[in-house]
Amino acid sequence: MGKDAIQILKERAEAAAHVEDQVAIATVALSLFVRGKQLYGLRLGEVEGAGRLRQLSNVPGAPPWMIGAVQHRGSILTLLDLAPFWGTELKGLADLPTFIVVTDGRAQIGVLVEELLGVHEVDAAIHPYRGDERVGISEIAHWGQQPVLVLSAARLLQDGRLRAS
Amino acid sequence: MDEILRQVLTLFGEEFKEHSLAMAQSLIQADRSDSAEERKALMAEVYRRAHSVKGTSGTLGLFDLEDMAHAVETALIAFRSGERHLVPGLAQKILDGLDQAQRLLEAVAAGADVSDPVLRATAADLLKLAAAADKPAVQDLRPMTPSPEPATPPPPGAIHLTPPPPEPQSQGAELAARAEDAFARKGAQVESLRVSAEQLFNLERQPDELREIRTVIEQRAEDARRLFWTLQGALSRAQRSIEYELAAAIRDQILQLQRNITGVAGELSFRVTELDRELRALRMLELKTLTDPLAKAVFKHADTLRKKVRLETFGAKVALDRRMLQELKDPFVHLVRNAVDHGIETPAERARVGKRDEGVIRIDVEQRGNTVQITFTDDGAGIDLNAVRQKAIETGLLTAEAAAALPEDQLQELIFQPGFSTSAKLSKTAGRGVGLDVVKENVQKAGGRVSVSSRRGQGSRFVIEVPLTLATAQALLFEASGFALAVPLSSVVRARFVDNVEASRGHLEVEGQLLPIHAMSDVIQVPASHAPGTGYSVVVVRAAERMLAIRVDRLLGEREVVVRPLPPEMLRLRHLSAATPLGDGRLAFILSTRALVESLSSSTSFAALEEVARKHRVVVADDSITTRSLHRQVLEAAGYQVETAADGEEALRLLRAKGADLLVSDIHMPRMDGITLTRKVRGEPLLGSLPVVLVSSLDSDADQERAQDAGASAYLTKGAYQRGELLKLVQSLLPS
Repeated sequence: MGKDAIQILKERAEAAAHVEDQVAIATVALSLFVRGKQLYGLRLGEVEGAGRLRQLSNVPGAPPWMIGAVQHRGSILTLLDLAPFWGTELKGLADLPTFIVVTDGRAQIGVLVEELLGVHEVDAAIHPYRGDERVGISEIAHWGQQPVLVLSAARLLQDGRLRAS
Repeated sequence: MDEILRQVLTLFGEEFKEHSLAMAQSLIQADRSDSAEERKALMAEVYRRAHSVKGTSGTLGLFDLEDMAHAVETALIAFRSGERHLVPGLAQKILDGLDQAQRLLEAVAAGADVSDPVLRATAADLLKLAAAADKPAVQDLRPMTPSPEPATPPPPGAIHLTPPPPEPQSQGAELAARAEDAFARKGAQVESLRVSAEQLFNLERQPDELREIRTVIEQRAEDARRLFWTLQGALSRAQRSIEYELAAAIRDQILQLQRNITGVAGELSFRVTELDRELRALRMLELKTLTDPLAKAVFKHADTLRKKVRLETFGAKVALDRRMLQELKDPFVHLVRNAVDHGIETPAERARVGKRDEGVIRIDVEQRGNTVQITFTDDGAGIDLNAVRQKAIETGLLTAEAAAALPEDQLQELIFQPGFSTSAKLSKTAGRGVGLDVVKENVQKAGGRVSVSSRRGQGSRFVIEVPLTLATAQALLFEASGFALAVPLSSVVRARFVDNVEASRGHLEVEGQLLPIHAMSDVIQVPASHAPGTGYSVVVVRAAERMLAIRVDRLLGEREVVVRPLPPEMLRLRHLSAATPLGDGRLAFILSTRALVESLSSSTSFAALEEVARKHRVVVADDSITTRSLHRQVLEAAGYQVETAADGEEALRLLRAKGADLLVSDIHMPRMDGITLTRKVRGEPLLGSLPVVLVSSLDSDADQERAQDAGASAYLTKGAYQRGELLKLVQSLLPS
């Protein structure tokens, strides 16, 4: 086989690989929600469900980020408010009528949100998050022009504050 | 067949199906895999499941199945590293055995005999294949790309359990067909009423979800009621007209609607309660369904080892959730088999060290609030810590220096490491490194913990503590500082209203003790609530032999509650042990009474706690509160840590649970006197050498002789006690 033929085959292989890459990662489906005027996203496999906050039970001795607990599908679910968890601004409960259940396959926690926007395809050009040290944010994506902070369930749930001592 | 055995066989039948299916899948995957690492993991899975089947089948007297599972283990030894491919025919033969075992279990459940010559023949074939596998095999050198395997002629003397396939098939294709067949058989059993634990768990969630719906319906009824009164208010100010009549008619319809909705909510509530009750009954099974079959297994197993062992079980009528029992089954089997294998000595060995020729394994079950404690005690040789240390060094778990420096209790815990076995000899039950790691894993899976303590020459004690999280509990519910809270009823000494006059004293007299009343907000460190009134309610709880009186806002009453485990994020909140859903959608948190009591000593420094731990522990048993208090004061003043019991039974329970360095006991007590207590203590494997001081008001020779016969270390009259003799005696019996 001549040198040209090899070159042609190489180029074809590279082109095919490039097309395949583009097809495979064109968009990513994220479950989007709003908290503190910021848009957040979670991969679908990391969302176990969502619920309206009807009856909240306060937990004695709970840290400020543990807003309370609810019963969800027969289990006790801790409700987490990201703002105090990250040490940022506090908001009243009236602003947080909904929770989204985040899971890493082993554990789960309810995260209070202001608004659930549903599942949307976002630009697949997701980059590692290099902003402040908010625990659980792993990447940044874009939904139209708006930046979406992508939460990682594993990172969030592995934070020392959420694990049993 | 008795009912208990039938229930256990049913449980095992379901479990075996899962094991069989998982083993088949792993074998097929291993057969196809070209990755040594993957094959290793898959073999480990098959091996572990075979070991589990072996243990349980032996316990149930299914000895042919036990032999078959043992043969599977033996046959796979050569392949556990994953370096070698399975030899052709081996996986099929194992699957043949699993199929036949399944048929046997179904037949036994229908009342057939437990022996099965076909299964025995399969086991023999497997052992032959295992022997052949020890030689270097040509098949191990097969290419990376799977190719059709040549048909393997059956070993001489092999018995075909299933007809051979009409056409030659590749090993992989045949195995895949077997797996599909197994799935199909599992799915086809529509006549069976067995329900998997998972399905039951899913069903169990339904009442909670229905309660949430009921709460919403009740809220709608409340909305309708408000609407009615709004309209009623407007109409009362309006002038009569046609519109008025129309609005009044609407008002009446709203009232009717509200009543209908309330009625529906009430009906739903009733049905949910019924459903809950039925589901609970489905879930619960007495622990004796696990412990009863163990006695026979212990007897048979000991017989094969030429040992004499008796199994005694106490308190196994405690009912637990079936899922919990499922998790505990393997640990129970492993612990009694381990005790027979490694613990109890042969009659000759026992005779040499002055023990009775028959060894005793004892299982004590005790419900303690929200937990069940199961203690396995044997009076055998105990754990050889030198062997443990040596094994830890050999396996690279510890360096020689680290092993030498490791305290005994931590050294004992090493036996729970996977693959850790000090048995040099590979036998049917020992030396395979499978067992105690399974015990720990299963107990942890059940949300519990296991610990071991042992004294060389005297025996071992394994304590399994599992929460009643899957079950229900009787609890006292109350409100304090805006929280709905509960404590296990078993730890409640008293709960009552205290009027302002009594409250002004700040303390309460309970069982002859003056208890200061603490605000719940102080104890659990939450903001205080101020509810002015004519008094308040007080709950007195007992834990760790101490009582605590706590002021609460309102008593809600006693109730049987469903205990739900806390999520991991709440495990750091040490006052909380579990939660329970209330009927209105709220959660009540169940408090740990032990943590409540301990929080009063929260100011105690770590050093002080360590000092307490270093003190000698003395248990004082006396039915007179005055004498108990006197003993306590005298001994505590001298630096001893004292726990008290009101009779022999309570003292024995305390000693078994926590041990002690010395026992001081009255002779004449209700339920169990001091003489019986002393005899029992002397008969306990881990308490046998405990110094016992018997104290009596009688200075009679007969009493002294009885005390001596029972094995008391010293005898003291109460007159001598008054002369300060007790302290001298205790000091002489306990080295400083």
